Amino acid sequence: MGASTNGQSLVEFCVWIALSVGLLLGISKLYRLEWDRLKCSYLVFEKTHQALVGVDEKNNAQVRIQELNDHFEGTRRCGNLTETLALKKLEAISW
Amino acid sequence: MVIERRHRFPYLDASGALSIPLLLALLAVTFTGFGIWALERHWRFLTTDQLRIDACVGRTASSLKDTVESLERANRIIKILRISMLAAIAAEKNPAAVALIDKALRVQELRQNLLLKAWSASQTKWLLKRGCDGEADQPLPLPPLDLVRPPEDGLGPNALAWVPTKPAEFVIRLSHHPRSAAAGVMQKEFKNEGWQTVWYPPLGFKRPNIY
Repeated sequence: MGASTNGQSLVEFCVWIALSVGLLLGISKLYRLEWDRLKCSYLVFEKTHQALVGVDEKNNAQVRIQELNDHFEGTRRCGNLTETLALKKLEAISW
Repeated sequence: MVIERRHRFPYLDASGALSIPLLLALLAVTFTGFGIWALERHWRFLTTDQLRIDACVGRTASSLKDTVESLERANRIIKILRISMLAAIAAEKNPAAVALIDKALRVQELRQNLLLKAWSASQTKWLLKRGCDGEADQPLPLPPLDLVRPPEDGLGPNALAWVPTKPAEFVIRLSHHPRSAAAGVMQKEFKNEGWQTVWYPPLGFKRPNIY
């Protein structure tokens, strides 16, 4: 391997590493976003549903629950996302 | 002059030195992706199951409330008709009115009997279909409507009476492991206001384990 091919290898190595790290960081960010969305929606559903059916549990999932006239509303922030869910009281549902 | 590079492991050479870390990174990314997907799928099924059995229980509770309210409305009409019948018989002037009131009483009696039979059919269907849509749910039997009609007297059919007393609530429960749903049909705070449906805490409520 001559001096010129060594330089070529180094450039290729650096470009490859930069691309790989960039790709991994991108995927990690995407996963993080998806995880936030997923966790947020599930936790908000669980906590709002518990409030709706009258399960008296300590809310340590940081979901803000509001009881309104005909429904319960749960809100939680996960990263940049905010999930809000409204579940109707039984009497307010028309079947 | 050829310089031979010697590596500790014979299978690692200059062109493949990055393959193992990159492969590990790729595996980590793939498994994390599958993990998130699997969890999403699991939570989605839990949520849809919960909403499905909630809807089933809610619809059934609403139907029970309508049945009980219709039975009680018919009872009130029967009581009024019986008073009218008493007045018509006492007056002894209008046999046509007596016949008309008697017919109205029979209609209300028939209506109540049909409502009770429909509820009995719902109870059987609920157990046979295991809830509303037969998706391997585990239902508790629907509550019975313990109403009896005292024997008919000179005024015509009597109103139905709760045995032994009017229940304060009826509870409907349905499970689909690990979720369950429950609803109640209960008397309103002021008893002459009728009945209302409310969600109840389900049996065996499972707390989400992701804190």
